[in-house]
Formats: sequence, C-alpha cells, structure tokens
Amino acid sequence: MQDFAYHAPPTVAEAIALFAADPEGSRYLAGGTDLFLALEHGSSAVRSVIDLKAIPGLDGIAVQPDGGHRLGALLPMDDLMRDRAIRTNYRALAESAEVVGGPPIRNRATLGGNLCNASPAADTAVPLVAFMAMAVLSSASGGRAIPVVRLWEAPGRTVLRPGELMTAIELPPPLPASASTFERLTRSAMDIALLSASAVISLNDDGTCRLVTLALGAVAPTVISIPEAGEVLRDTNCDDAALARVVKAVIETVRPIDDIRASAEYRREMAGVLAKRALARAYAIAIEPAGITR
Amino acid sequence: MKHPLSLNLNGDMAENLVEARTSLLTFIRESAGLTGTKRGCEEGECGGCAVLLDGRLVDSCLILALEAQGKTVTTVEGLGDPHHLSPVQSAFAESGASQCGFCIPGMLLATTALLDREPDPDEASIREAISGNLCRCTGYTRIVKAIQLAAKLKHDGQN
Amino acid sequence: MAAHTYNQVGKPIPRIDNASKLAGQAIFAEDLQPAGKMLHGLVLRSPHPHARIRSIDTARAEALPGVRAIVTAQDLPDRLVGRYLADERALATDTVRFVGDRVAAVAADTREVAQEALGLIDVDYEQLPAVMDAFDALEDIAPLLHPRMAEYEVVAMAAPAGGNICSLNELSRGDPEKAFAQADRVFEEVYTTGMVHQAYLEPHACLGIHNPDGSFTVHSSTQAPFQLRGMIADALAVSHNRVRLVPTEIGGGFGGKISMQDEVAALALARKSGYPVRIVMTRREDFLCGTPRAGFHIAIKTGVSNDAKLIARTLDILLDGGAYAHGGVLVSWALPNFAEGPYNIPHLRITARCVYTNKPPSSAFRAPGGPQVNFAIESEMERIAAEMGWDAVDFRRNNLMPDGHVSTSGATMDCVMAPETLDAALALSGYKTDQTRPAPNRGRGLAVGNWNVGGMASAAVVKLNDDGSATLLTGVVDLTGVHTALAQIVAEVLDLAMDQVTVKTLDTESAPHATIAAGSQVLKSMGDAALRATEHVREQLFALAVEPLDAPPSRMELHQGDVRVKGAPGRSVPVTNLLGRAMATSGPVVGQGATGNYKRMPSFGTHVADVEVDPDTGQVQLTGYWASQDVGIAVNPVAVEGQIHGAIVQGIGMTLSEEMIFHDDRLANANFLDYKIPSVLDVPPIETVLVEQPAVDGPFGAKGIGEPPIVPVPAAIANAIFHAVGVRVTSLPITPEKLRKAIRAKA
Repeated sequence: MQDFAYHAPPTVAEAIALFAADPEGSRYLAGGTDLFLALEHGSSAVRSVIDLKAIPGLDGIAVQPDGGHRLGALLPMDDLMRDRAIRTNYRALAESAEVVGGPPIRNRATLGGNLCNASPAADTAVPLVAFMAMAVLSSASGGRAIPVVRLWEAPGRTVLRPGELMTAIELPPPLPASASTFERLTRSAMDIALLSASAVISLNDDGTCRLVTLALGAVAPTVISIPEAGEVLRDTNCDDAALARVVKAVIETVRPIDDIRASAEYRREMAGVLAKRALARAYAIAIEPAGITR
Repeated sequence: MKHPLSLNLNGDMAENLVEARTSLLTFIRESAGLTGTKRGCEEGECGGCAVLLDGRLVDSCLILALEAQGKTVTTVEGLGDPHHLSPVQSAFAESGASQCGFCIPGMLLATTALLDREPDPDEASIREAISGNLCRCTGYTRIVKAIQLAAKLKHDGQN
Repeated sequence: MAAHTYNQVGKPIPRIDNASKLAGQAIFAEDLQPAGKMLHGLVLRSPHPHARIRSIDTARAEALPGVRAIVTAQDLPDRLVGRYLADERALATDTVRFVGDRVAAVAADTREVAQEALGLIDVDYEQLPAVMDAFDALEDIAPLLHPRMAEYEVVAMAAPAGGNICSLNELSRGDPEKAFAQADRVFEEVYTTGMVHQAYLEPHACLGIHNPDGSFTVHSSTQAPFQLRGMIADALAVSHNRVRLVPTEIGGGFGGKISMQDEVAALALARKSGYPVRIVMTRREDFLCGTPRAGFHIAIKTGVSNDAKLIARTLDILLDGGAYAHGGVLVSWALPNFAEGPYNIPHLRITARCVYTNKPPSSAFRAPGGPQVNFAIESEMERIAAEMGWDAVDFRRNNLMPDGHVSTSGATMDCVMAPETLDAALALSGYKTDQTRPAPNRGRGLAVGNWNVGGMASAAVVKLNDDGSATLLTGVVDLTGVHTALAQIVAEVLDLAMDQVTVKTLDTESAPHATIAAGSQVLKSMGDAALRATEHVREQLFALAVEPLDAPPSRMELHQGDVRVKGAPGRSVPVTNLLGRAMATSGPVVGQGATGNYKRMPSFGTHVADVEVDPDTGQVQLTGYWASQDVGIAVNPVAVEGQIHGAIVQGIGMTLSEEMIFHDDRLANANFLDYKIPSVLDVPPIETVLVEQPAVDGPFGAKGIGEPPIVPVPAAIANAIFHAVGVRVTSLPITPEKLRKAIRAKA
C-alpha cells in the first residue's frame, strides 16, 4: 500500500473542497471496512484519504416532520440495528444491518459506506430500495436527492459525481398497516449474501395489499427492484397464485452471475424462493392484528 | 509523510509519528510494542486484531492509526496482566477456553464489550457477540461457557 | 469407566500456559523482536501454476533504497530436499510448480520497501501447461510435473510409480473379486472430497539469524522442530548441529505447520544482509502456500451377504498430492492402516495413489485421509443398510472389528473399543434406531470412526532442583495442552504439586530429540519419555535412600517431598536430604527417558448429528451433536474434551462449507471471506462422552486424542442429511447449492 495524505475536515464543504483538489487520487473514508481492502488490493493510486468522521452530525437518526426518518450517512450498522424507531418502523432495515459482518465490522461499517461501495450484495441497500429511500448528496454545486435504487450503475460504480458526498438517507414515513422483511442466503452464518430479498407490504382496510415493493440483492449488477411485485399483488391477499406470478417475473428479470460462491442457475432459482418468502412473510406480519406496525 | 499521533492506550498516552497508511494494528504492535493484539488476516474477517476503540469492539487492521487520534484504545494488555487477570480472563482460564491462544485476545475484548453492554447475556447474545471472532482450535464450546462464567464472576465481583 | 486413584492424572487441571496466553504475553513468531536491527523479509512467489524460469533479474530491486539483500537459488547450494521424497528446493531454480512456489526473497528495512522491491524483480517465465486435476495427472498426455522423479531420493515411505504418481501403495487380503462374485449384493459408489486448508489463525512466520560463528538460528512457528531443522540444514548443506531451531508458540497448526516454508529464505537473507530477517506470511500467502488436506477421489465397492455381513470391499483412492510430495505420501502410505474402517472385512483391497498436480502441496491435516475415507465408508454403511432394509446400527455392530483384529498391513489392533463408543454415543444422544423423522426435513445421522494414533520417537530429561521441585526439558511444542498433561505425569510420579513442576520447551540444540506435535502422538511419545525420565529420577532417589532408610528400593514410595518406606510412614527421609547426599556423592539428580518408534494404536469414536434442511434452498442447519471417543484414559479431561470439540468443528467446516476452489488454474478463495471456516454461529451445541479403558500401552493407559474425533464428522452429517431429505450428496463440501440440486433431481 502506498502512503497517502490524510485529512479529517470538520465540515462537508471542506471535505468536498479537499476532494476537488485531486479528484482522481482522493477517497472519502467513512467506516473504512471496505476502503481498507481497496487500498490494499486496489490498482489505482490513492493519494488522499479524506476522513469524514470529524464532521459533526453525519452519524445520527432524526425523525422528520412528516414522520419519515433521516439517517446520517456515517451511521454505524450497530447503531442502526439497535435503534428502537428503526426496529419498529423499518424492521427489514434493522435486520439487514444485523448481518453486516460481526460486531467489530458493524461498529465501524456505515450506512453510507455500504451504499457507496456499490456492491450488488450490500445488505442494507436491499431494504432501502424496498422502502423507496432517497439518498441525499452534496457537492460543490449544491445538493440533490436521488432514489436509492438509482444510486448504482454497475458493481463498484455509483452515479455520484467525482467528489459528490452522500450525507444522509431519507426514509419515507412508515406506511399504515404495513410490514417489511429481509431474507438472505449465505454459505455459512458469517458470509456476504449469495443473494437477498426485501419486501415491504402495506394493506388496505380489507386486508388486501395496497402497496407492495420488492427488492433483490446480488442477482444483477446492482440491487434491483421488481415493480411487477407491486402490480401483481395489488388488491390481492398475497395468495399462492399471485406469488407464483411474482416469482415468474423475478426469475425473468434477474441477471445473476456465476462466481465461486454460487452459480447463476442456483441464484436464479433462489431469487424466486427468497422473493416469495420475503413477500409471504411480510404479508403474514402485516395481516396479523399484533403486526409490528399496527 | 509522518503525522503526530497521540492516543490513550490502556490508560497511558501513546504518542508517535506515523504514516497515514499505518493501521491501528501496526501502531499497537510495532510502535507501542504491544503484541497481544494479533494479525490474523488483515481483512476484518478473523477478529484476531480486535480492540476496544472508545469502548466499542473494532478490528484494528481496518482502521488507520490516525483515525484513533485522541481516542481511547483498550487491548488485551489493558485487561489484566498475568499476575492480575481480570474476571473475564480468569473465566477463560478456568473454563479451558484457550488452546493455541491466538484468537483469545480478540475473544476477551469481544467478551468485555458484551458484558459492558449486557451484564447478563443469554447464550444467543454470547454467540452473536463473538461471531466476528474466529477460533480454529476450541470449537467455541468452551469459549461460550467461559463467557457465561465471566458474566457470573463479574456479577459476583460487583456484589 | 476406569477408577482413578491418581493425584494429578485424570484431573481437569487448567493449562499451565493460561496466564501468559490470556494476558496476551505469549510470544508467537511474528511477535519476536531481536535486539538491534531486524529486517523484514518477503518472498517472491510464482504467479503461475507451472512455468519454466528463463531468467531472474534483481538489479532494479537491489537499487531500491532500503533493500538490504535479495536471494535466489543462486545463493543456495544445489539441493533437493523433502520429508518423504527429495523433490523440492528452498528456492526454485528452473521450474515453478504451483502458484506460490518460492522464487526469490527480499530483505528490507521495512515491509513496505520489501513489498515494493518484490515488484521490481523481473522474472522471465515460460508458462507450461498446468495439471489441476488428479485424474488429468494420470492421463498419458499429461505433462510430467517432475520428469526426473526416478532420480529423487526416497527419504521415507514414498513409493514413486512413474508418470505423475509420486506414491503408490496397495494392500490386500483374501480375494475381493472372487468374493464379489459370491456376494448376495454388491454396491458401488464414488465419493469425492475437496482440498481443505488447516486455516490456523496464525499465518506462518519465522525469524532467521546468521550467527557470528557461521551457524544459523531460526525461530519458527512449527509443529516439527527436529524434522524441520534437518530439512533446513540439508537445504543449506550444513550439518544439523549448525542450525538451531527455536520453536515459538504456535497459533494453531493441525498438521499445517510441519512442512518447511520460508525458513531457508530467511536464513539466506540473514547471511547475505548480516541482519536478522523476519518473514511473516499474509493470510493470502498462507492459503496459497500452505499444505492443505488432499482432495480425495474414492471409488468404493462393497459385497454383502444376506445375513448383513460385509464380505468384500475394494477402495481405490486417488489423492491430489499437489506440487510436491509432502504428507500426501504419508497418507497414501498410511491409508491401508485405517481405510478398512472399524470393520472386519475378510476380502479387502485398498489402493492409494498420490499424484502430482500444480496445486499447493497437500500434506497433513488432523487425521490426514481419515475423514475423507470415513465419509465414503460410513455413507455406504448407511446406504447399504437402507437399500437392504437392515437396521444401520445393527449392520454396523454385526461387522465391527474384534479386539486383536489383524489389519491388512499386518498390524494387530489392540484395545479395540468400537462397540463401546457406539453404545456410548447411542446412550448420550438418545439415538433411536427406528427411522422416524422427528419433524419434516429434520434428520439424525450416525457414523463410527476409526483412526490409528501415534508413533514416533522422543526423549526427555527431568532434572530435580535442590528443593525437590522438578523441571521437564523437552523439545516438543504445545498445541493441545499436552505440556500440562506432561506436567501432570511428572507430578504424579514424584508426588509433587503442579506448581512444583515446570515444563520447559527447548530448542533443537538444547533438547533431546522430540517427536513432532502431530499425529495424536505427543502424549504417548513424549509422555512415555517423560514418564521414564521421571521414573529414572525416582530410581536415583530410591537408591540414595537405601542407606538412610535401610530398606530396598522396591519397598519405597514418594510422598509429598519425602521418600518413605511403604506401610511404615514413620520411616522417611526428605527428598532435599537425598539431593544433598547426591551432591556429595553421585552428583545432581537428572533423569533421562526415551521411547522409540512404536506401534500405532487404534482409536474409535461414534458421532451423532442432528440437522434441519431447508429443502427449497439446500441450507443445512446443525441442531445438535453428540460424540463418544475412546481415549484410553484422559490424563486431562478438559484438554481431551477441547480436542474433541475442536476436531468436530473442523469436521463441520470440511463437510458443509470449506473447500479451496481453483478457477483458471488459480486458487480463487485465498481469504477468510470466501474460504468459510465455521464461526460460532455455525456450531451446534456439542455433547461429549469419554470412553475410558486404559490402553495396554501409553502413559497411565492414555491414547492420543487430537485426530480421531474429526474422522466420523462428515459421514455423520451426510447421513443426517440423508435421513432428513432422502438424498445423498457424495462430494464434500455439501454446499447448499449441491444439496438443492440433489433434492430437485429427486423430485
């Protein structure tokens, strides 16, 4: 690993300015759990590491006036998974944070880092897509917010412009009569996901589905959402026939790869299995009178 | 280029000039000379290098030494010396939880972090707490027992 | 259970190294910091699985500031070395045979500079076709990986057989072909197992020093100080006394720290630079260059009669030996000793071929060959029973080897405890022999394992200090807690308290020869040597006491610091008096003991596994595990149980998740991210029971325990999966994907 300059600016503006000084050679440092490996094994020369942890206010959870939640990009996984409001209102997100490595990783790895690393297997990315979260980005030219599902172009590549900094994730207000689930398949307990699925379902008063979202991880170059889930399941009781149609759509949509962890063929089949499980479980929780969000 | 670094290491100030690329693990082992923190994979997979950073369990191989500027770091040497083992260390000794001993410093710190947060953990919590620490010798069985005993010893010690 | 009347032996005494290890003060090889300047060494390793080296140019690297020395084969004598077959070099001359093969080494002021220098060494390789599969290695058209194999010196056990076969061993009894013809049913199946790494938590490390007198000192994280010392000296072409090997604490070995690694490179760098040189492998290097468990291909054929008797069996085993003949040779040599399984089969033939491939040299890993072969044997027992409609436990019981069984190799199996461990495991687990599933997709499996433990030679010295306390001087390292057990043995014989006994590990120049800390043999080998050395001390004390006690030695005993006359407690003399007397007459009391290579002892165990299978995904959750092991007697039951736990969990890894995967001729998972060893969350509750029946041989009747408990694990789990979902995956590891595929194929 070549040596580099280290900066710990106290403000977002200064961080962005430091990055702008050498856009090619700069990297933002959040939790470091991915960056360190990239520095060790990466091919491109890193000349400047800009540590974001000295910037106050990027690691908290705030309730928005509309009932939505704003999560700082530097929020560590361990804080995220333990937060009562998140566990209650966005359960799938808490569950996804729980499986990002073991405790030492979860104490460092951040939500923003997990998203900006742009792995299609990133655990928290999948429920965030299902929750239709927005990513708040800052750059010298100002700020913007984009849907999390639009964050990635390819494995390891985001749509962020050089130097653009993710500062927060905004979760919409929890839906009434809703539930969320996260499902994940691994080779052993401590493993990155072979694939993952997250579903969010809210119900009409008659117990049929009102709004359904489904996201899948590690079955395509980026985390993807399956809009057919919402279309097919709307106003249904999430019955087997409807689920079978969603599974068919999933299997037709996914574009998994072969790698040493699993074959594309297995991932494709499992995408259907996990999608069905995530949806069926979400529906079962939502319909249950003691459901977590009622 | 070297940067001045100063941090609280096991209660003492540790100061030195370090390169930015120097990991906290390398700083602890080579600059501060505390070799109880182990280099097992340098990828955050094994937990051999786990230390407490401001009380939180972290893999020191994935942290730049400069990130610990002004912070408090606890390594196995800060838990207790051979003549004054802490309750957690004593529990591991009594339980036969240590074989080769290489994973043990990380396990002890994971246990310490757990018991600081959750003095009376159930077995599931114990397993979860050491899930980022690999052990290849013991099959974890006696380590889990040791942590149960450690909770009891700490509890008894406080009464 | 055996009744113990001992003071120390049989007691769950905490390890004597606890305080230093628990306080983080145990010194492992990477922790060594010699006084004065030390250089950081790194090894340039082949990036190709098979290539000819046309040239090596180190000029650019040498010019880098901070580089102190670079060595290649030019800096070493032209020597081939090996434990079994002298087929490798400390640094490659003209050919590299696996990704990771050592080509050159650099010593520099810092690790970073050494790393940079590696990139500046220009090696011109001519790539050669690689052989990445053991079957491919057998093909007529396969490139010969060691064209001069016929000229290699056979050091031990190897039986090169031409082509790429570096060792061939076949043993048989009776006439299997004829017996198959007469059998009521014949079953055939093929089982395969993956190459698995020991994955000790501490990567290999060593520190080399060139001494002022021209001799060498090397500190190494090794299980085999004396064997390794010999290989290093041979590679350097110096006599063995010119290399002092100092063993360090070992952060796990499991057989993976027996072979030579970078020690000679470190010493050559030290000689060239004039400074001590430390070489520490990265995890990736350790995966590339370690010496893993060989992948096996096992064709098993079994003939049975309608009265549930095993009549005939052939086992045709192909081992992937990797690039050099390490423990693969040992395994193919030893296979016929254990591949019969725990059974008595009148017509039997076992063929083992170890072939060269362009993979890391495979070697010893906890019961090398044992779990692979048992996976085949015990899967077949279950399958055959199911197909024949027999109770699988009764079928096993009906065929277990009797005490005194003579193996195909001609060895007599004494202290056969197979039925006892079977009964103990059934009782422990509450195993019901009816095949009712406890719940859908849940299953329970059983396997009986056998292994032969031990035996190489050791010597030990016990010296009495002037207060009567004792120090055991030994050259064997402690992986398992065996030093605590050795201290218990010394304390037992001399009737001392544990804190009156010190066990001192010495280097190869200071200690008498010691066995390797492997093969489940330290307690037997060094334990016997220590026992004899202690008895030698006692003999000297009794001789010194003849005059003051006016009694013959045969009537004496040691009791808490006194020698006394049995049955006459009043007639005693303090040991300290006797030691004073010794100083004035015969001299200090020092005991010596030794044991030669000894007959291997059979050891048995029966394991039961409970699983829950997710049939839609193929994921397997272990929900319970029970193990009984035949241990002779447990000198230290905590240590023994710890060995069983550890072995089971390693067995779980090789059964469900661990495999070195080669893609495009290269190891694709050289890290813990993708080489999945079990975490605590993968491990079920484990219960154990020790079956104690003192062995005829061994200190206080103890048998080795390090290896045997890994043997039945894969088969027990595979049988549980079969019980749960009715399908059998015949290749290890049983990954979710393989199992899902099998379930789908059945449906």
